[in-house]
Amino acid sequence: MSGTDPTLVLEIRNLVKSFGALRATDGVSLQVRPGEIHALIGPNGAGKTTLVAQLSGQLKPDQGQILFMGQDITAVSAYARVGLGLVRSFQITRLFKSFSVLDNVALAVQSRQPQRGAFWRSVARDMAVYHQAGAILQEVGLTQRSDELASALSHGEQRVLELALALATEPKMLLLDEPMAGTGPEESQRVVELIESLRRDRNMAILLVEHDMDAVFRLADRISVLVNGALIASGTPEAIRQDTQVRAAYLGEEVTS
Amino acid sequence: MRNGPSPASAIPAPASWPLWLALIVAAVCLGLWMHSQGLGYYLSMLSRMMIYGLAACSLNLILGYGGLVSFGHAAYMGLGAYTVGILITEGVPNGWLGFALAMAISALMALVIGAISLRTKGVYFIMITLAFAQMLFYLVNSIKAYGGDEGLNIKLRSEFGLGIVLKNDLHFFLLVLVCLVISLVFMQVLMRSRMGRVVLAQRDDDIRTEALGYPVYRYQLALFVIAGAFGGLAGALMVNQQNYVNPNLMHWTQSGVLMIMVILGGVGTLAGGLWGALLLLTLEDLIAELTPHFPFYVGWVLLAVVLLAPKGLSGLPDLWRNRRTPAAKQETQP
Amino acid sequence: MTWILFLEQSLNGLQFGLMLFLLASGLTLVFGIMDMINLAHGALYMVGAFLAAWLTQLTQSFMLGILLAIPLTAIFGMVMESTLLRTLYARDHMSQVLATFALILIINEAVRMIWGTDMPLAAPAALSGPVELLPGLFYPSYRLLIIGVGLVLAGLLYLLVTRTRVGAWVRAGASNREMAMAMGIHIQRLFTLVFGLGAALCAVAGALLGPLLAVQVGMGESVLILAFVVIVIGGIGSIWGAFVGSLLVGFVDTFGRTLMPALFREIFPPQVASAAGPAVASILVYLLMAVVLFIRPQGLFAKR
Repeated sequence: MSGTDPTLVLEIRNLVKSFGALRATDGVSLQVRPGEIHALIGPNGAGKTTLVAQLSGQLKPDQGQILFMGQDITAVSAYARVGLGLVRSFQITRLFKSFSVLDNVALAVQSRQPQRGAFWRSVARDMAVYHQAGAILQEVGLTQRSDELASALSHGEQRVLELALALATEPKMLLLDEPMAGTGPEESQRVVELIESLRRDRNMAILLVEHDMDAVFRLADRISVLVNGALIASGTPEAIRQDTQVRAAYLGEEVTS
Repeated sequence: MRNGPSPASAIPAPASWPLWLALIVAAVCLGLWMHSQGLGYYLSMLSRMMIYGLAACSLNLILGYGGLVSFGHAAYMGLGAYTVGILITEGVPNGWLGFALAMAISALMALVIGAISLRTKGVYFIMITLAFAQMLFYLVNSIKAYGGDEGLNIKLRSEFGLGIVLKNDLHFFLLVLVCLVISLVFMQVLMRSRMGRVVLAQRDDDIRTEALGYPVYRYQLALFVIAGAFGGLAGALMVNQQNYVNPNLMHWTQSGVLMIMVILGGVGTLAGGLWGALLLLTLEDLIAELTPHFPFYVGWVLLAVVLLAPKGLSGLPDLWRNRRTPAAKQETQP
Repeated sequence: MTWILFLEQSLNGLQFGLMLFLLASGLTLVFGIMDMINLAHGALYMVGAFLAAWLTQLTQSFMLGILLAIPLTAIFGMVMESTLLRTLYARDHMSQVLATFALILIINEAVRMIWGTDMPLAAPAALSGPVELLPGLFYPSYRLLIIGVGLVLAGLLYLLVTRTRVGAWVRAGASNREMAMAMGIHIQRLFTLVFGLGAALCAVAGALLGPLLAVQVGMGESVLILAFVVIVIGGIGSIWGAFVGSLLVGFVDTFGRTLMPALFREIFPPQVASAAGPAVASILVYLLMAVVLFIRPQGLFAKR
């Protein structure tokens, strides 16, 4: 096994995860470079979300290693990974339904503050936190909805808020799990633009799990294809488009080109 | 852009200090008046209701705010009561020491039970907190030296010096009031703080909270310990009020009674437990005159509340405005 | 400890464990399939015992008393399920806990209103004597009956769950409810059936244990907790786990109560032993639960 490559943001080595007889993750190895959008595509049930869950720490792999910024984080707990800069968003929207949009983001911002758990300081005096939260809402374009309950947002706006929460934790890398899930054409356009601006303005490394092929081919620097838990191809969008195995297994059913 | 929590958010609104002050003054006046009228018995009853109110409010911390269905909360009340009771029996009636120790021991037990229980979720968590509380019940029940199942009588009440004589109904009432107010202030500050925000967030979605970088387990445990400490305080007051403590105070069905108080008064509100306790115990005294089957009626009321108005009486305005739907199951992520 | 005593205690443990199993199996299925916490399960056990006591008085036959009590309790359980409990399946755990706790209050008081705080129930005269199992080992024949019934029912339950179609549905439902629904299994009817079965088993346990433990209001609450402990140890949704857990709890509790005080007397000075011995004995089962949780938080044979 070669030594760690410090230039890589994320490196996955031979990750294996089984549920009984089912091999959800079958020896996956993958790299994400700084500033790159690396898309992960594959048919339903291929094990994409399982993989993301292992990267973010919600699931423990049976074998293999996960290296983030050169550091082995395989045994690091989920919340600590966020502290290191590895942040995920969820495929099924998980927001704090009883909080306003602003307070949702404020909670995320707070997690990066020292003394984030203080139990004497009133949140009403947390100027810095709310200032930052406001700035993030402006960046994603949700300012006019900031006082409404998160549950009152449209589905597309909720997906944007999901992203905002991830951003507020000052990530060095994002794991985006189907950010466009369930959005209409206009809303998914908004999400795509947001992701593009992340790469452009923040040079953010992103692992993007998506089904929306237009978005994938527009955004991705590199694409990896996951089928039945194993990686069958990995390369530039053009290479993937031409790959016969991929076309047979997956793309041929989705894209008419 | 707003610089504080939105009014819509679940974060408790800032306390209306004038209202609180008015209530406290009214309570003090009521106490003074009742004492002067020779209504010491009723004053004592009122004190008992307030003690239960304190216990219910401490349960509300983990149940209402934390969303953790702990069915073993009465155990902490019992531990606090027995700590003070045993100390007095052994000749240590110092109230400062007794109360502090009661809170400390309850907090410690909450730490142990919480540390194990909070590693589980859902149905398991409920059953485990229930089992641990029952374990403590049996433990205390088997200690014959301090009464066993017959309970422990104490001859005198805690001594605080400073001219405070707890045997005096008015003094006792004022002590209870002071403890209650201090506890509620603490809880309000806690839930308005950063920690409070995290607690409310994990109630909505603990996985998301963890995914934002918060060690949710630690926050839950801290909350558990704080709630246990206040439960112990209620117990310390209780043994003084009754001059007696019995293992039944720790039985899991007592935890159920506390839960009923919380739900009746408004789960997830600061003083909901207090109002629920006052309501339930007053009703119990009134209805006990008419029928010995009070629990039967309470059961139906509770059932109705749970099925129709899940946030308790204080949730009725919300229901009217149709803002919140009955809490549905959370989808669990793989 | 002599061999005789050991065997006697073993039989007691087996008897206790088997009765616990009758309660725990119904409970674990409800948890496993419906994901619902049902505190009123102990109340069904009590209702079964009271019905048996009342019917035994009416018919002057213990046998008839039990046999009639079982279907009546099952019907009561199914009515409870299809009217009230059904609305709770989609609700959060706190609502379920509170609602079923309310049911305990209602049922306890209702029983008290109908029959009073307790009712006598005596084992049939034919079974009041001991049986000599081995030279020197005398064991009450009534308890042997309990063991016999317990084993038979456990065996039947095993066959039901593993060999029949209904059993397959139950197992499917326990491991994945959505999948079971997608496969067209009539989930509502299955739930009611499972509940009725659980209620029937509770009735058997309540009726059989009545002569030993006294038929009284509130008898369900203490045994309910033990059933919970069994399920936590055995794993939610697993009948086999409930079986193993029940026997484990039965043996540990029985032996603990006799051995612990004796053990403590050997090791500790008398003042400590006389206090600590019984105390530790009473919480031994909970310590066992804590240990199991520590090693395997989801229980020994968890389904999911």
